[in-house]
Amino acid sequence: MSLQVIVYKNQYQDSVRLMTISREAAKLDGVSKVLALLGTDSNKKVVADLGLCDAAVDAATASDLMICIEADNEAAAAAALAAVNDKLKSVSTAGAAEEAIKPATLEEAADQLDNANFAMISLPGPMAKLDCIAALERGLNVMLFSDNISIEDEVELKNKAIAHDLLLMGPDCGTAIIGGVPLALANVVRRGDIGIVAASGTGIQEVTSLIDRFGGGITHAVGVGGRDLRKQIGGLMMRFGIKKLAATEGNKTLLLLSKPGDPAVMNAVLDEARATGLRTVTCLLGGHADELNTEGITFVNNLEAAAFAALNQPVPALELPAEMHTRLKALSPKRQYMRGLFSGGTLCYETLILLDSIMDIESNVALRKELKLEAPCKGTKHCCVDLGEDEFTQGRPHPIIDTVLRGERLADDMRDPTVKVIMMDIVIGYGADRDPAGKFAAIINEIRATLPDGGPIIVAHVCGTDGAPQSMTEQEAKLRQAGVFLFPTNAQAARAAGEIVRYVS
Amino acid sequence: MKLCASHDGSGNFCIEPQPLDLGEENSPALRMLLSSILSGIGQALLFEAGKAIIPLPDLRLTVAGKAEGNTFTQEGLHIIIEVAGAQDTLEHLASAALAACFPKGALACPLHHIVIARSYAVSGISEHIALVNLGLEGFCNELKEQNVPTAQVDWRPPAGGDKELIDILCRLHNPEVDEANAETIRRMKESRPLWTDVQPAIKAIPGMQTNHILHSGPPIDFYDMCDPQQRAVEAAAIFEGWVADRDGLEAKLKSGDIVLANNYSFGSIGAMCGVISPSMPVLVTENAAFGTKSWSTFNEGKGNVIWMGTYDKGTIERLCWMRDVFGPIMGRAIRAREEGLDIFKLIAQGVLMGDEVHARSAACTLLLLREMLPLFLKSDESKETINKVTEFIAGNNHSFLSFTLTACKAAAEAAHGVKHSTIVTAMSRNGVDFGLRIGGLDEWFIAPTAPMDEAIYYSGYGPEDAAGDIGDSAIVETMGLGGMVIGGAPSISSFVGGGMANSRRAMHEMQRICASNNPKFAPGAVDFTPAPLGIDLRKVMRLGVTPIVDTGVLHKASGVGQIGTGIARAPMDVFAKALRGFGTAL
Repeated sequence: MSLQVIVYKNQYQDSVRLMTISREAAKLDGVSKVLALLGTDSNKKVVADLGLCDAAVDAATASDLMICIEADNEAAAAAALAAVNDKLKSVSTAGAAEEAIKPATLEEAADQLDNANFAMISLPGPMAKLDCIAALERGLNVMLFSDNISIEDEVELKNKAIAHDLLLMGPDCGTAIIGGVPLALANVVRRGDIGIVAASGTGIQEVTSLIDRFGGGITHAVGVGGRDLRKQIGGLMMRFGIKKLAATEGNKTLLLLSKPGDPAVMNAVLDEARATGLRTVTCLLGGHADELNTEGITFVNNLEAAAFAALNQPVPALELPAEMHTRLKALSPKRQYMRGLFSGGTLCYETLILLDSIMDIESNVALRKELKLEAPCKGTKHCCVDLGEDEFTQGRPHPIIDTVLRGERLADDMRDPTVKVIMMDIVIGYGADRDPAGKFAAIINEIRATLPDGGPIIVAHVCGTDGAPQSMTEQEAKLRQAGVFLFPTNAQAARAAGEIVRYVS
Repeated sequence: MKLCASHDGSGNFCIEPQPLDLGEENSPALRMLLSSILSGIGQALLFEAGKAIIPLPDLRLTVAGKAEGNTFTQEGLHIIIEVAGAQDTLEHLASAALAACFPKGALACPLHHIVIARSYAVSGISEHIALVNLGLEGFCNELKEQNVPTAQVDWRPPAGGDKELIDILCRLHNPEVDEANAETIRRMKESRPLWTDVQPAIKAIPGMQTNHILHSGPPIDFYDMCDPQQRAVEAAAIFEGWVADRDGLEAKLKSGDIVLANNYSFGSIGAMCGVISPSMPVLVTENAAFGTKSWSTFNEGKGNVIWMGTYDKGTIERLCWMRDVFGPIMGRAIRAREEGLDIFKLIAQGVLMGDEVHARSAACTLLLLREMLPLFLKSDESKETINKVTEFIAGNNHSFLSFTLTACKAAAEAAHGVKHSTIVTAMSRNGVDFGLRIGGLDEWFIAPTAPMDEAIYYSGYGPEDAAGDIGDSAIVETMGLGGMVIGGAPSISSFVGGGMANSRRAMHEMQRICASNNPKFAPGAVDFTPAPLGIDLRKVMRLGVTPIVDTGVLHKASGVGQIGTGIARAPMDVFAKALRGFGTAL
């Protein structure tokens, strides 16, 4: 047991600082009490109450420092005193270096940028609305990647955006290209004179990639979220997007893209488009123009037709390469089915539309109820699976971002002796896996070596451009080396798959 | 005649309970027209004469015309449609809708309609992008790779992710609230509280009764009070000569001979236990800009003092001396001045000299002495009295605290009561409950005080010994001083971890939850960063950061008084309650 007091003359310290120092020193092992006090009368009384009165304490003044230490032994007491001395010497208990303070709100982040004009929001849906409002009030256009936003909130946010002359792209908007900058999952696409407003993320990916591949270019591609043409939303952002593009320099052609929505809403959208005086191509995937006023508008119902109509070029004819015939002849006659493994929802949908008239394809996004596949979505006949649907993305990254799940399905389907053709989309660009072709090629090579007839024919389409970090040309080359047949459009790959299924040797 | 109907954006119309020209509102013609509008034009607009639902935001229809009986006169009828949308589309829609509702000849008078489209210039899409990213950081990194200017937000769920609260925050995120808050803050900044007088509490505080003992914090029953506040009440009753001890006090409280009330019920304000009894002298402070007033007792200093909830014989003697000598001298001195003492002006100097005026008022106390000494010396008071009075002021670094409290209270009172304001106008604690008042709402919101675990304790004591956070003095933080400007007082930087880097960080965090700042209080120690001002309920809830309040800590039971000092946190619960209160009010 050690009880002692040390007095430092002329060592005035702030009392709060002394309290902190005492508290720190008292934390040491074997130390029960540390009091660092100035020698005021009331403090001297405290020291006296501890039974520590001596001449030095008696003589202490308010500018002297008294340090009382109660400890189990001399060593612990010495350690406590050393700690007090250390603390007294240190200029500040905080580190000298001040770390940069990260912005905690959208407004603070916007303050850090010169002329901030966009907010990308990929927060959990139910919590995203407040920041959407904050962005719009701050004058930022919003790209709302989040899903799980209610219809009411979508209407409210879109009205607010329009009132502020701002875009609200989304909710659940995965792709947009503004001023040549790909936002979220998008490609670097050549600039040109086609302006796009679309309610489909991979739809934008495909049409912009085709426009780029076939020599055209775009001004901007505005995403509006998949529900915009529903009755309750009334095409608010599609109509406003058209107005925005009409007010933007450099547009000659307007390309509108969506799944079919409410016909009356679509008519309002078409009115808006006609009012711009721009050449307009409207693509309703799998839709028809029966109830629509398409006067002066080019109407199409698949992505390939949309891209070529916008380019003002004829759709290239499908040619099956000679090697494919050789492969087909070598295939086991047991092989008769098609399997589509998609990462892009719209690409899966386009495939179903194009092949619906020639075969029944089961799918988790089937066109007809009787063909609907439930999780885990493993069909036994023809089937196309959109691996980007909710049942596959709960707690797992989207297949465009992470190739693992699709790789497993690819291996399974290759080993299935009844499968004749496998179709895949390889969606590249920013936000996507940095080498999907390399990963699939490795799987294909490994499994093909084990199959006597070389396994099913694999057809694929790389959706992307050479401006993408992965490079379309390089991705195609890797797949071609693995014996994959490549097509310049998703539609051609789909038609090729159809031809392969129908081929009888 | 004028009628308004509005559309809530979801297909429902409602008649506005506002400017109706009385006398004619029951006119049958008007009713007929109104029902036509509600069932006709509105729907027609929505359905574009029978086609699609086109949701329109904030649609407002005004019908203006002259009617006699059930016929409109020849002057015609104006239907004014104000709506958010593009002008050309709306004109087209309105024409179609009106034609559908009022076929030719249906009205006995000409029909005029005007469409007012608000703010609908549509600009082109920008070639330049500078993007704020919230959520997946990968998006930000990929844009950086392409040399696009981006900033990632270190986001946290607003209101702890509570859906109901987030909804209210969404509704409060609008310019109307911003304007109300700006007005609240204007009043705070333009306030000019002057210390003008000293009077016995019973004479100065309107409504105070001769049997009242006032206390800090929300209203509370004696038996629910924390121990130190009970002791302070006891001391006040003894000082008044009403009782001799606790038993006497309890008997008189029971009989109603002594009545407890909280300071906020009367406009007075008190530090820590905050007890004010009728014969205690109080300083009178008047806000020269807005006429609001506040009152507080003088600070007693250290040791056995009732503001710290502890007393002995000497304490009562000191209170008597303050009543008989100190208070009257201070009163005579200040009344002799041409104008009262400008308290914020003095605080502005004090903040430059190392005070944050809540835990540290050393500089302000000196500045007060500088103001008082000439007044004392010019007076007829005896040298001995002047000596005692100046010694009393000089011997207590908290002498100025009461002045600060009354000034902040008089300013906050002027700022309170702006409809829609989400700015905090009072925070007040009694050791058990924390009371919060918001500028746009009249009710108080109450929640238990937060644990005192961020404070610094005297050796041998810890959070388990502490009474709850106590005192009306959080009015200091309400007015952008104290914890809000902690960087102004380097000597207490250890309250927030020690060192100026931490003090700056704490101030930055407080600025995040405030709507404005006050260049009048700009401490040199932090490069003259202006003090954060106007705690915004919306920001507190959005960021999950509550104000820090500089304070002392009292022992919960032993009667030793102060056992520590440091910061207390306002409890999050009370802010959540206040936000819900706004939800109800909306």
